Amino acid sequence: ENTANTSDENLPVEVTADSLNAKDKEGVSIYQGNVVITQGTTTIKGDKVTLHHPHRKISTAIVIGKPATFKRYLEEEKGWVTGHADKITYSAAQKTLLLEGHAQVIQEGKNSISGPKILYDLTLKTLSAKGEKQDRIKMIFTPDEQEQK
Amino acid sequence: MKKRLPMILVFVLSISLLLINTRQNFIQPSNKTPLERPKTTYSWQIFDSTTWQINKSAPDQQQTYLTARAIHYQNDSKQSDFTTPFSIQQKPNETLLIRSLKGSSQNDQTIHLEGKVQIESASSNKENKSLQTEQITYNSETEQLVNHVFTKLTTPNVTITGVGFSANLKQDQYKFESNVKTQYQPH
Repeated sequence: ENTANTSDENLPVEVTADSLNAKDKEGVSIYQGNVVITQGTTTIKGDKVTLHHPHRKISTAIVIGKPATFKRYLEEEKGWVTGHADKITYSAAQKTLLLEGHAQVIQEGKNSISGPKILYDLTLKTLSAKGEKQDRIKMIFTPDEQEQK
Repeated sequence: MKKRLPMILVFVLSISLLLINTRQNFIQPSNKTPLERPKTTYSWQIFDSTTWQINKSAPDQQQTYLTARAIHYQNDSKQSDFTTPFSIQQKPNETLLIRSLKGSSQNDQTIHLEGKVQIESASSNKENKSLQTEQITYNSETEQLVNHVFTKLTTPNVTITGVGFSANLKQDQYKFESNVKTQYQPH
C-alpha cells in the first residue's frame, strides 16, 4: 500500500478513461467515461475530466461527476480523507482541491464538513467552507474514544 | 512511371506529423529475404529500391529518402503495394521517420501501413513524439490519420495508450476511442 509519506505531488499521474480527445497546441485533454486519476495515494474519479497541461505539465484538473469523488491517505493520521461533490477542481500550483455543489469532506474517524463549496489544502491539510443563504455549512465532530467514556 | 513515382512520396511529403527522435542511423531493410518475383497484375514494379528526392532550391533543407523491398503499382486502379517501406523526411526543423512491414495506397491519396508501424519525429523547436501501432491509414487530402487498434503515443514525459486512434495533423488534435491510459511523469 503506497502511503503519502513521499509527497504525492512528486509522483507520476496516471489517468484511465473510456475515451480521450486531446488538443496538443492548446495543452488541453478531455477524458470521458469512468475517468480515474491516480497520483500516489490520491485518487480522483469522475465522468468527465478536463486536464490543462501547458507544456505537458498538469496545471489543473476539472472533474465532473455524479458525484465526482476523491480520496487520499494521510500518513500522520493513519487514515483517509475522502470527499465528493458535483465538481472537483485540482490546482497543481496551489495544491488544493476545490469541491463545489453538494460538497462533503470526511476525515476518517474525526469530522466531516458539508456545504455548497469546500476548499481542501493538500499541503496544510486544512478545510475552509463557504455557505450560502439557503445552503449553510454543516460540521460534525466525532469525539475521541476517551471523551466518549 | 516517373509521374506515378511512388504515391508514397505524396504521403511522406504532405505528412506533417506529431512524433519523436530515434537517434538511430539509417537502417537498411533487415535480412535479405529472397527477391520477390515480378507479378503480372501490376503496371510497374521496383525491387530493393532506394529513392532519394532532394529539393533543388533548398538541397540541405528538404530531402526525402525512401527504401522498400518491393513497390508494385497498378496504373488504372491507382493502387500500389509495398513491402518494408522505410522513409526519412528531412525538413528545415523536423526529421520524420516512417517504417512498417507492409503498406498499400489507393487513388494516390490514401495510404495504409501495416505491421510494426513506427512513426517518429525529431523537432528542434517542437516536442519529439513517437507513435507505435499495428496499422494506420493516412488520407493526404484531409491530413487525417486513423486506425481502430491499440496504439501507443509517446512524448518526452507523457505516454498515452488506447484503442482507436485518430489525429488531425493540421490542428494538432488527436483522439483515442477506448481503453485510454495516460502517464504524466513529474517534471
